[in-house]
Amino acid sequence: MKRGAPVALLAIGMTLVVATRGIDLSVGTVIAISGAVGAATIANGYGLVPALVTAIAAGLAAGLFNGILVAFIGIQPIVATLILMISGRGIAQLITEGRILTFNLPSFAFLGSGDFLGIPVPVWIWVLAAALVIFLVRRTALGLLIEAIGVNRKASALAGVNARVLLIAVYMASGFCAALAGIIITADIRGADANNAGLWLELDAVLATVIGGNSLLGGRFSISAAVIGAMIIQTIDTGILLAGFPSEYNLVIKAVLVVIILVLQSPNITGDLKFLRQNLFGGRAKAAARQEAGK
Amino acid sequence: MLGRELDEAEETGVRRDTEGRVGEKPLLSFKGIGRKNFVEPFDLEVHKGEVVGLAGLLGSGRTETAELIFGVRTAQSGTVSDDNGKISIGSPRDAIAAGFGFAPEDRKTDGIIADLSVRENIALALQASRGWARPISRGEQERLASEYIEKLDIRTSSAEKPVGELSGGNQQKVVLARWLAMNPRFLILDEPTRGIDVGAHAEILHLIHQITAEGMSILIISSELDELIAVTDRVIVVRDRRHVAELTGAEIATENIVKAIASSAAKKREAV
Repeated sequence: MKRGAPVALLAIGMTLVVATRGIDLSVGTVIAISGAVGAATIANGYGLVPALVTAIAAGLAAGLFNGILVAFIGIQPIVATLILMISGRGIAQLITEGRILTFNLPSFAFLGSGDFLGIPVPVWIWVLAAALVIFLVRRTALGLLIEAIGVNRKASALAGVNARVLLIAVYMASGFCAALAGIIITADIRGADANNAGLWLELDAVLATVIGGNSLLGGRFSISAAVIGAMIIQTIDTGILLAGFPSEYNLVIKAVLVVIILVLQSPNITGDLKFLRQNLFGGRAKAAARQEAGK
Repeated sequence: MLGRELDEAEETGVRRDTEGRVGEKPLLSFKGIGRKNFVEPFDLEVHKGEVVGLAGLLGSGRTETAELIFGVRTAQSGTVSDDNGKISIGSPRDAIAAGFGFAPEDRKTDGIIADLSVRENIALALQASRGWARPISRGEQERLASEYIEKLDIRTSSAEKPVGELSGGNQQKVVLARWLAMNPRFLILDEPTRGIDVGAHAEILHLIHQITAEGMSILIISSELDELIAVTDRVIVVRDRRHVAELTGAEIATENIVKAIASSAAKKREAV
């Protein structure tokens, strides 16, 4: 649950973006940037609150940048966010000046490794974030409007949906979630590692979203399913390590499991399975009937 | 096939005479609206409860006219005004706020949200204009959907069925329902009866009569002259991205419309 916090947070934001028929590949990098910004703030002698504010502001700014590229300039989401995915690590390294920026601030470290009421703080953060986002999209009309944009952006705009503003909002939400994940990772290791923090996590986040049954083609989405997807991925990761397999096998086994899950989810295969099952049972019933008749 | 319904519509005296309206103040007046290489500047006045038709060949600037009016493309020149003064329309949202509605020509790509349910499609425009923070409750949406499913006779097994699974005519009715739920004062229908079956066709024409009798104004674009003749009070002929002729009352007849559409070709020939 605790190790899965970053992926779960990313999956929350990713689900919103995917629902608009987009994808946000920059989240792993945004983790590094916001972690670096937070750590740099502390290293310059500021306290907990300024560090959190600057880290989250960095995430929101990254989301704003992605959102403008997608909504106003009209670049395809996968390309638009790729820009930041690649260039962002450089930005993070500039902030940390190429070193691993360490700090000593117990209150900040508490966010990554502390416990509250017996439950690790990162778990609190992602559960609260998920609850907040689910409340926001389901208790207001945001969910409906986001789904409408994902299915048909042009028709939605003609019906008066403010597609551009909403698109920017979902990318900013994704940036916000990535910033929270960055804070957790940085706080956990008490240092900002611009090279490795959040590396490849964007792919885990996309995977979690898809395992949760959300279509990359946009439309209907479920945040809670995506979070469960994130937990499945984390369980696989941890399970493989605990089972004593060398960590080199980790990615291979994960890939195999993911393929199995996706195949089971595929509507084509589900149809075939049903057909197969009916035929098998049907065949047995017929055989039984024949036996009856033979007697 | 269509003839029978149209004849009936004519017989029941739905064509109201427009003579009495001429002196009346228009509901909306568009002056000099245009955009370069799109539509030449045009004037248009719309009265309350009036049906204005736009006739012309494909690509003559009919849809473009509708898009300028609704703010899909912004007009480079001209003003729009109503009783209370000028209205500025820079986007569909502005147009909707001004009480306009637009059922586009290409239903599948511009009209319906295929994967969403009939209920959500009907509630969408109303929800968008209310803003995200004031959601229409589920119960209210269901009431709205069942009201319009009944009113427009939308054939669907349930309000929760994705709109993409309905027939063309029923999809068009859902788009109409979306706008009627807003109760706009001016509704633009671009080819509202294209590619739908005869029964739904007649129902939509009937609906146009009904809502204009309640005071809504309509701009209808159609390639079917019979249809324009049956429902409109006034027909504007568009040719080469220019509004070239306006026909009212008894002038609205197939031959006059065809003549206006064709006269440019004739002129060109003379020039050569």
